[in-house]
Amino acid sequence: MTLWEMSVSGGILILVILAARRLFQNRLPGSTFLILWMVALLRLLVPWYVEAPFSVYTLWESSGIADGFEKAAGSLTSKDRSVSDSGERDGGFSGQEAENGMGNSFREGTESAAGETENGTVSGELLCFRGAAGLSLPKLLWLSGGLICAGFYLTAYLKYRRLFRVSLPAEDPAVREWLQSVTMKRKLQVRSLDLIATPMTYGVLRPVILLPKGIQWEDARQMKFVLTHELIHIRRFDAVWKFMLVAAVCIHWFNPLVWLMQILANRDLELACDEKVVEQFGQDARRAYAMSLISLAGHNDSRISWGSGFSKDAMEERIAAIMKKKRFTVGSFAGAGILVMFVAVLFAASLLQKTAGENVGAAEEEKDNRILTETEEIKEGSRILAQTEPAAADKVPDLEQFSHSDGMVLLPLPKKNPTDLSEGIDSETVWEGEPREKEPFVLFLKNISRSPEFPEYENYGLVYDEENAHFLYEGEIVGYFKDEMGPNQFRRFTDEEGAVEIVVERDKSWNMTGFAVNRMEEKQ
Amino acid sequence: MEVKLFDSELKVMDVLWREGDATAKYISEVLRDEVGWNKNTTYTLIKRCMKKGAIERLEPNFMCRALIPKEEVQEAETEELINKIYDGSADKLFAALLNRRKFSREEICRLKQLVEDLE
Repeated sequence: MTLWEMSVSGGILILVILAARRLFQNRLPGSTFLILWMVALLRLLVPWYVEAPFSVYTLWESSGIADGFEKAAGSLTSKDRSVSDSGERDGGFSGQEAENGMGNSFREGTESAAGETENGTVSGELLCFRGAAGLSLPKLLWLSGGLICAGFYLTAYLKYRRLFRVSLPAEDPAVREWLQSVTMKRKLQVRSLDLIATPMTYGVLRPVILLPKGIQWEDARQMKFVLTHELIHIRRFDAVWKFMLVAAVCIHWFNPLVWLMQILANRDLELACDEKVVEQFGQDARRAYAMSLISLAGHNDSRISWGSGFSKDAMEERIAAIMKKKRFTVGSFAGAGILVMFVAVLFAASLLQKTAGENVGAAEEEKDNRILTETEEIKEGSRILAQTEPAAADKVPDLEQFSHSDGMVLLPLPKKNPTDLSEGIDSETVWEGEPREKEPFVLFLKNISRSPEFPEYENYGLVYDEENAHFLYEGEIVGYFKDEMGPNQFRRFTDEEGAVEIVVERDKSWNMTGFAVNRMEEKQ
Repeated sequence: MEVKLFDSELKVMDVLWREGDATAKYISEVLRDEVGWNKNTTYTLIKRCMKKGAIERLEPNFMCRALIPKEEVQEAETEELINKIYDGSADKLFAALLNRRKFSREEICRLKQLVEDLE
């Protein structure tokens, strides 16, 4: 998943939330919007995608490899052979193309290959479409922007924390009494500071409510309003929220919607907090609470406004929210539920959609490297090593490339549609016929035994019997071998004499984790 | 001489006024127990007081002496500083009751009217 994709799908979520906020702001519980912002934050901050069992890509791939291979091998006759002399094509064609290009059943494909070739470009383009993400200049730009942003917030944070350090314990007996009545696992302090103008809280594990020095309470109730408000912030870990919003802004600094989210989500934190205060003190307290806030804001004698228009609007929005919100009915909770579900579905959709994008992108990134290294290997092993050749998405196979015969059949038959899963079987790059007599096959196996991956295979028990030109596993001849070495880069062969099927297992970063071993059933 | 000190600096001076000359270490221990500051915080404040001419340092052992009596000290004006602080991103980083310091009389009236209207 690229940052860009995260930013775009996150941005879409933000737009939806903005609309929802505008439509339902004072009609739904405040926590509704917090949940929605959380969803957007998740999308923006967490690069995972779901390993969706139903993803188009996964299905396509799993159906294409082992099954397709077996059937393809079995169904071929020597007349149908088209062979690739891949050595001459500097890595142009590969098993991966076969993978991507061949959607239809093997037999069908053989006959109609020419007509469908151009469809093969569809998958080729798909693979190329994300190449720009790897460029270093945009990356550099993004990184420096993010660092500047993070630096700004970090400096500000440290400055404030240094400032807060010199606070003194609150001495107001009423405040101390209130503090006694609070039960919380974390140790709560109320302190006073002469350098702030409005009550604040900081600290997550050792939370502190900071009051401006000499704050003049109009009455005991106002003090309780304020302290309760701050306590709710602490109980809800709003500091963590704010941190995540800052992180989102630093990472997605180029996305204005994320900045807007930071402002509005911060406001919603306050609104949700106000709502909770009113809930605790009762609906009758709404007026007193709103008036408390206004009086605490204080006023200056000048008629010039200090803050920006934006924060004035925020205050109005807040007063309106406090006054307008009625008790929520079952209906409003249901509405909230539906809204959250809707956004959650959007979120989930973005995850699934990105699953394919992820794999495709990764394939693209590694393509060039692979071609370089593998091509040498191929040339050395003369001309039959198409199977070890990596993906080359930008080259579309055409039939001419398969007109030689070396005991090897390469059938890059394109799918009509890359997402067409109906057949569930792909044709493959295979050896068939009498491979034992074919020197190229022997060379091919030999090449594998000299490949950089072979020592790894050996670790897991694969042995090369050079004399008889077989790979052995636990003393048995390996009949089918497959290793997906990278995104869409396959190495595989069949050995007619073998009965063990080995599929190399690799983790997400393509590190080998073992073999999946199967005894093959008798072929019909 | 008139010295303007912030609350925290006054707290440091309080110790000296109360207990006479004391080492920085002693002051920091007193304040740790009284107000929960760590050693570095207290040392920083002592240095600030020295800069403002409220404390003089005597060797050995970083002995501190108050240079001015309690009566001559004024509370520093914090207004300007507070406004500067609110220029920053305090409300993006910390939960603040209000994200804005002051309103003009006009705005206050409008907000109060809003409450009345909505009730």
